Amino acid sequence: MAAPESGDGNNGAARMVTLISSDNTRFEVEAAAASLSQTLQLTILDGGGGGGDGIPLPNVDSATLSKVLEYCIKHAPAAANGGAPNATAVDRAELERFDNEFVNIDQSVLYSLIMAAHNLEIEGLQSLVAKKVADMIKGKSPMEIRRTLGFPDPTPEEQAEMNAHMLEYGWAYE
Amino acid sequence: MPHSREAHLGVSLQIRRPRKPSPLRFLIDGQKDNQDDNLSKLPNDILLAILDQLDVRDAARTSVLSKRWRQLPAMLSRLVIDVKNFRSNGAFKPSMDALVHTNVAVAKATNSMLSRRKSSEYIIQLLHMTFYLRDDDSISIGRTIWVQPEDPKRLASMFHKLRVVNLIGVPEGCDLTWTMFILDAAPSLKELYITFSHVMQVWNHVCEMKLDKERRRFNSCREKNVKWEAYNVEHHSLSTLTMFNFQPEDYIVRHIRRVMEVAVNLDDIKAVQEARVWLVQGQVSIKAVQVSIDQEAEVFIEEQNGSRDRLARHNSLPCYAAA
Repeated sequence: MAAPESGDGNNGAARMVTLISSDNTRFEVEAAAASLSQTLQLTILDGGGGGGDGIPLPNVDSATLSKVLEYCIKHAPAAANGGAPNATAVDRAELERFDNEFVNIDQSVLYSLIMAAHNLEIEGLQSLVAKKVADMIKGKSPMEIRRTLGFPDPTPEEQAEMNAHMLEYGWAYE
Repeated sequence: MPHSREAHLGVSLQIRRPRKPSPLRFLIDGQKDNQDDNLSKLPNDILLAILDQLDVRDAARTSVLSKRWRQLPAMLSRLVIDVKNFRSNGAFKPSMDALVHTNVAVAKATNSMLSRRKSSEYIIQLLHMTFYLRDDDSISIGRTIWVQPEDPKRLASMFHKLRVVNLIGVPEGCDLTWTMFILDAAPSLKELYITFSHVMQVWNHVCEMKLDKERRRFNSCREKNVKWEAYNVEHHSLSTLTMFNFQPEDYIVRHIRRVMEVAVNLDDIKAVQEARVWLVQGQVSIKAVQVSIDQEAEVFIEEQNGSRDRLARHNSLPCYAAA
């Protein structure tokens, strides 16, 4: 009898792994969800992260990690289906609704999130947050961009530089 | 109603290089900015991923933010500069003035984005420009894309590593001699692809009334094929020339001959007429044409009618060429 290839095991219980945030909080999640991270995937495939061991993530604090995992858990089933083929329109709409809601958060959280997604190599999350930040920039004037992104108001010196720059990039303002 | 007046030509220039570690990596640390904003604490890779989501105008505007942001546009590996980004707001009226204006804006933006990349530290993976191709002065494409078409050497530093060029949506009947310029500016070019669009057919059905007038315009375009200066230098790198939606017309065959003369190592010419979709009649008719061209440039054609399935298969098949 050939053993099933799947890592889900025979008894229906999904395999769990433990991730440890920089502030030493332990998170137990399904291996399938954690495997959305390219960085973690290899370790998990090698059987790491199970039992009492846990995988330390020294660059990710617990608040950010719990947010990241919320995303992974939601997206894991679709990813397991190899993306979209089996997904119904309803499923996709639901994921989209979740994504929109998910990035509707404070800017500083957004930045921690994209940094974590970058380190953990979670492609979908990276582009989701990048898109959100890009949306905050789209169609705005330089002053509006500065304010939206939390840049301090320019000093007179910087203002002069900005003006010179706007002349140079005239085609971007027409 | 937009029709042939709005036909545009997309040029994808792909510059490929063997994989090596991203040059951005070492910039992750040690990027200090005096700004208080949190966004600027992120590494360049992430900021570039954000800029990648913006159209070229928005991306250029962010460089006003700080010294650090000023350097970012020159690091982008994908540059997409599309006429669509340069239309004035509201309904686009395809008047001649508007077309010229938009084309000029695209040229300016391209020039501006490229001129900031003096060092070769950051590799352009994809440069994609789209602009309006006007049937009665196709030669000006040259001036639009190539900032100084008379002097390809100026571009040599930019294009000397260019390996693959895709010309997309070239209207049938339009001058091809200007493509010789690409060979001149890109000595390392290995693959050249040209896809013709069937603007005219679709358009004819949409608007029968103006057919004769438009056809005359296209014909006049066809007669202007000789303005480009003779190209006398041999090109040693080009190995494949591929044409999609190929029509075995004289001016194209003449062009192929010309390329064959120049590209001494050209060993593969593929010409495929893939699928024609007659939009207005609501039916799909497919002709797959396989053309083989030998050194005497004999053109040999097979036609067949097929179903939708065949259409799909033909699209995914590598096109066929025989020696």
